[in-house]
Amino acid sequence: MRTGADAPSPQLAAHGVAQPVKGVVFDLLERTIVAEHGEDAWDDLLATTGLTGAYTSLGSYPDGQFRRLVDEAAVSFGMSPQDVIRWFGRKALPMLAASYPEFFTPHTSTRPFLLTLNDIIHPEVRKVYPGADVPWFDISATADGALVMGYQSQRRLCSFAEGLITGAADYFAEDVAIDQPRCMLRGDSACALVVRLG
Amino acid sequence: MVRNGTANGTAARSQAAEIDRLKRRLDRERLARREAEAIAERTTRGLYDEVAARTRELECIVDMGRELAQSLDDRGFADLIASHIARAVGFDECGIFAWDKIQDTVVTAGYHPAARRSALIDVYPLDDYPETRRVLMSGQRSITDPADPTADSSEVSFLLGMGGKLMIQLPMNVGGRTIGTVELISLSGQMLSDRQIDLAQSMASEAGVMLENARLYAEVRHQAFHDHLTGLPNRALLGDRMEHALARGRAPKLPLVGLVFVDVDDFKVINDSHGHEVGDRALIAISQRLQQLVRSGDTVARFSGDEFAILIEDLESPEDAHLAARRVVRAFQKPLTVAGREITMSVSVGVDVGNALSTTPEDLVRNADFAMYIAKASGKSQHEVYQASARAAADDGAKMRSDLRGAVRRGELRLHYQPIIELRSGRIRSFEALIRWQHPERGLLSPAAFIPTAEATGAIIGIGDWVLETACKQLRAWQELEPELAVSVNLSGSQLHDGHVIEHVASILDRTGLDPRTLILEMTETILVADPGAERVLRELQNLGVRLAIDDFGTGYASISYLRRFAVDILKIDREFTDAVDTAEGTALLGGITQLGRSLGLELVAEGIERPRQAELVRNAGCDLGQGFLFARPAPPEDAAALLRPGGLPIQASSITS
Repeated sequence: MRTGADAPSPQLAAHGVAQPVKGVVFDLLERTIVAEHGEDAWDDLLATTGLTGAYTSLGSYPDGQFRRLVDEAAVSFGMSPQDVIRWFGRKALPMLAASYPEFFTPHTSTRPFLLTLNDIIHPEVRKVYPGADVPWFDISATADGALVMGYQSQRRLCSFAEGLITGAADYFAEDVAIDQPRCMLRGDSACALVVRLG
Repeated sequence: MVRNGTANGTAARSQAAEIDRLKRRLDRERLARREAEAIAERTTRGLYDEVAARTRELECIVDMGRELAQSLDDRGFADLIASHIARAVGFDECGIFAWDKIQDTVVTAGYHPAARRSALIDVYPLDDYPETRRVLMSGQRSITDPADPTADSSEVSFLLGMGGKLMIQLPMNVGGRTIGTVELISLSGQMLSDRQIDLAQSMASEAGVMLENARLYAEVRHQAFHDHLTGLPNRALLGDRMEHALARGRAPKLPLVGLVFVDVDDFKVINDSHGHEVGDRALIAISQRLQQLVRSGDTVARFSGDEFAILIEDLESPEDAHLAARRVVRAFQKPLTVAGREITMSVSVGVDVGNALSTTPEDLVRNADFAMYIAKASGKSQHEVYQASARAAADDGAKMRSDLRGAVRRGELRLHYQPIIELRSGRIRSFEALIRWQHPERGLLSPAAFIPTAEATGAIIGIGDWVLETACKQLRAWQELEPELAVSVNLSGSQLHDGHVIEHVASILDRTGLDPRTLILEMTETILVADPGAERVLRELQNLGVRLAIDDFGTGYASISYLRRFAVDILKIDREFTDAVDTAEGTALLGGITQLGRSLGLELVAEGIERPRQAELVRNAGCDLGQGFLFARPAPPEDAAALLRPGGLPIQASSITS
């Protein structure tokens, strides 16, 4: 299902620029881990990383904290960091759908929902979380009907995008296959997520 | 025990650890809550500040727009813009400079504070200010800081000259064009935040739109009130200025206002002989010459075509206006140089003077225009002062002209007939048709009252036609009784000059079947002498067979040569000779004339016979025919017809031949 690179996080750290991550992401991460692995798992993660973990969805926190949590989770759960991020995105999506149903209910399938990302969903995110640096997807379609979502971000969270898209397909009860013929984690200048639905 | 103890210990330890864990979790939640609250507070306050700042900025822009919209035509328009922008961003001074692309300069349009405006010059050549030019060309702002060694030296010296320590130049962008700059000057050297600069930029562009509107407004207004060719105020602005000039001051110190009306004599000739382009340039040259003649406060306006008017305000006395009029006439006695050639021209000038109690702008124009006409009529290159009596007479004339135009159509003209008698037999030889006008208000008018006007206006042609037609038809009717009877009709100089009379006479003869010999056309000798073309017309008339008579003979030239040249048939001797016939000298004179006439084979008629004795003497002097009150006054056709019946004449031939 994935061909995205499972690059180790040090590489991410080496190239990442210290850009704060919105508290809502930490909040979602905590809720995902608690839901899947219990409250102690999150406590343990905080204890192991030595982070206070007093995250609020309104605040912003250093990028490094997110990466340390992901890396430590990867060790604990026996997954690669990118898989953790992908897994996190897929599990976080239903939580977003519960909190913000207005973005989901107008649609009955994944494709039109994804097409509202740039113009509706992300502008709304910026209103709720001032200063949120949400990505802009360069969306096009291939001849056989697949969506190509170009992604370029210094955070290189293409795996998170992949997870969220998969979660959206789950939500609309559709099958999805995502390829990344180009990926910043493999040294490309931008990522290209080719999304095939149905 | 130990195990238990150990187990208990383990349980206690794990319980303690659990409590610890929960405590940490609680601390974490508490910390997160406090942070969330702090963030929420900061965000709320930030949003509030943002809204307040934005509102204030919008107010700055809206206030400026509102105030500017109300003062679009004020001189201090750009000063107002400068003060709004300076106050909005809290800067000390602000200048507004308009870009003159043609001259490659910026022009100082406004400054805040206005009192400091004097520190600026009016025009800055862009060659000297490359940084300003860059702002204008690129539409990008520029900041000049004297401490910066790379700062443009001319901008720095301008800034230091203004006593400033920092300058921000912003382009005024209007619809993709840059029309000027807004220059903010700080005396303290404080810098503006990006936010403030953005506000100033917004205001600069807003102000640019308003400035552009103000410029267009001024342009349109100028066009509406000025003559396109000469750039002089037009008639509308002249009217406005007259209104203001009269309205200033209060009784009894009402200002005396003069209007000098100037009309170029025969301007059409300049246009016709040199072409319209030269004509236009002549008008410009005329306007310039007029402007050199007046004081700065007076208004030279182009009234229309080749008519100009000069409004003189605050006259000391009416004579000053007359002197001005004379100066104007004199000024045009020197030729005008137009397009390299000298053009000689003259002007006719009329003047009227008045104050708010005695006149109105309309009256000033009407009267000065009228006086100008009088000047023109009295020989051009003259000036004339308006006089009410002349106006009254002219008004009468004007009414007469308009009444006369409809007189024929309305059937107000009449012909009266006076017989011409054979002095020997007492028979009526012919009738002279004499015109009368039954005026609806003034009663029956004699020809002297209206023929000169008819001659002057050209109405005489129509009237003359009517007279010929009516007299011929009347004669035709009378000839049923008296086949030899003739009628004589007076011709005017214009009728003879026109030549149309030939066709008309031919047509009447044709239609009535009259014997042409029974139609006599009378004219005065003056007419024949004055119009060299009359000879041809007379010959044509004679070719039709009609007879020609000279009226009032002896009062003018009494020239024998033209009597011969024109082959005149009848000579009507002026009443002057009849009056004098009872003196020896008079008898001799009349005798001479009749001898002359007879020797040329002419019929002779003595006019103005009033007494039987005159009739006798005239006949004895050799004159066969007579006309006068003695026989009959001119009378309407029905009364004249009565004279034709036997015994119709009150005086019989027998009484003459006593």
